Amino acid sequence: MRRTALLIVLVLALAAAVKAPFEASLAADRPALARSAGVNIKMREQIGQGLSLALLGGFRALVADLLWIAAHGAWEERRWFTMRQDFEAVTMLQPQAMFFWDLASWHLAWNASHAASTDPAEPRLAVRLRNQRLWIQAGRELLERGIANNPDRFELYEKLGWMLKQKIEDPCGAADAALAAVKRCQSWQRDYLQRLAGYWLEECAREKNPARLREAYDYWRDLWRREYSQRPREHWDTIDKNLSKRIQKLEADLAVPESERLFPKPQPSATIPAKS
Amino acid sequence: MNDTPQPDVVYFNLGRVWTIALNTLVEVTRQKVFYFMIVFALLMIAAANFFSIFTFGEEAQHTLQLKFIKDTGLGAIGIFGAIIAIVATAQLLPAELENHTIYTILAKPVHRSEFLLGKFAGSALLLVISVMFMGALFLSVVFLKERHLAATNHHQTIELAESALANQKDIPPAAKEQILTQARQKADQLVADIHKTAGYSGIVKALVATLVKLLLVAAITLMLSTFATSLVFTVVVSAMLYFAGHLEPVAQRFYAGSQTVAGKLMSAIITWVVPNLAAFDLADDLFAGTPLAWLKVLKIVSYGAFYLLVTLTLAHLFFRQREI
Repeated sequence: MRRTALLIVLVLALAAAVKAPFEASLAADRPALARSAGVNIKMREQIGQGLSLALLGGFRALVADLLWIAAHGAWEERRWFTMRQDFEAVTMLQPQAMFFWDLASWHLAWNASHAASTDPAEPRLAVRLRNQRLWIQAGRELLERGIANNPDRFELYEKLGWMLKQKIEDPCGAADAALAAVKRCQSWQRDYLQRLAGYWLEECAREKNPARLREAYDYWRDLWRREYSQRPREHWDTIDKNLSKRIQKLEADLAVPESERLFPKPQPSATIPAKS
Repeated sequence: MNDTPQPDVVYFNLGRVWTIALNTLVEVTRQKVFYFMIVFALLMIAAANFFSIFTFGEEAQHTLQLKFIKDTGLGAIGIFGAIIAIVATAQLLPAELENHTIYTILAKPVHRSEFLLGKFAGSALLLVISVMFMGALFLSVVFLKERHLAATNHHQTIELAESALANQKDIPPAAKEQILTQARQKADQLVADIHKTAGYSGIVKALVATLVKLLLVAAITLMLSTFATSLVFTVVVSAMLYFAGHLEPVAQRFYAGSQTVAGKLMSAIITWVVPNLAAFDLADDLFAGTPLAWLKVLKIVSYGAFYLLVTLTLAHLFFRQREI
């Protein structure tokens, strides 16, 4: 009996000794697993007892989906605060799912903010505008939290760019977000993102911060040299034509010396045509 | 000269383990609860398709729909698999004791360890068959949804371009052809994207990890039943350990930050003894955009195998002491 008890203790001790390094190695492979440890009191309060139990049973993804469906219902009934609370819980449960951050922040910054700005129950314009700004800010904060959780992914940077451009009217911030997205994007969307960053950077320089005009020109010039300069002029499509026009305009605005221009003006012919 | 006959030494024999395992399998498949669970699980997996109508948001429509199906399918396999593992395994030893069949078996040249391993193997076979059934249906549902989404999206993309062109009479034929070619390319890209989102390899990996988790749950239940005197105790404690296993990462954090002795003790027990069952849930990784490599899945499987070995060794140590 004593021998068996000793053996049991030995087996448990051996298991405990091997467990910690084994689990540390598993956690290193899966950062999502490490983040999943955040089933805290705040989370339990947000999602209720029933879903907490499901959460503890390992059905994290399923709980996130159920809350997403609940958020869908709240959205249909225009219960914006409930919708926001559900979104907070969903993104907390599956912080690595890009579309949750993306769609949730979009609903807050676009739909909820629009509803606040046209709220028939609020007659004061100033209050409506303030509420609108608060919802946009809530969307932005959510998106920025998504970026903090997924710093290596480009998708949320692009979405932040669109939000800054369209809802906050900050083309400079949008340009910086798009440039951050370009840095992280290796897929087929890179072409489009590179141009998007250029457009916003140029807009930032022309409308908000003229000091960045040179930066915008350098950006377009480098992009043209890298991606577009190989194509013969006769094969240019709408994008090529558009970019070349933008670069020429920037060269003129910045008074770039002819010798340094990508598109120098055609020089007049040295020989004088003979009079007929 | 000593004429007293020496007792024959009976060595451990896998053949006997296999025979007990097959008998156990027949025994557990006769339980009605097994069929109830399987039918419920299959219905839930098949119905997963209907949950996907709750998605909203144009851009990520197909991603969300497939995610809902995959989460529901994996969730159903996880929960019903766990119920089957606990309920079926918990009854094995008590049933043998109640029917007195264990006396007949152990009176023969059968080691207790062979008997125990055979019981576990029978239960494991049941779980393998169940997960294969449920997994096959789950993959079929995902496949059908993927086909449907691919066909719908492909058709819609091209139709959209064609209807836009139909309203523009003054576009030259070459430009029209170019626009249509671009629409076809976009449609093909969308189909490829949908196929990638379906992620069959990721699903198979998640199923493998789930199966290992269920085997571990069955082993824990069997270990508890080696010293438990009541079936209810075994089922309840197994279910509690199942939850505790998923709570293990939380307990680890609590252990690190706890100030009270009781809190420290409880979390220490969970941290050092209970296996981390959350490590087997790959559903989160399926959507992280970086599916786990097979080598990493193998690491998770070895973690499960290590704990299976520990649990079955403990079960053997408890069972050999038990008075029957």
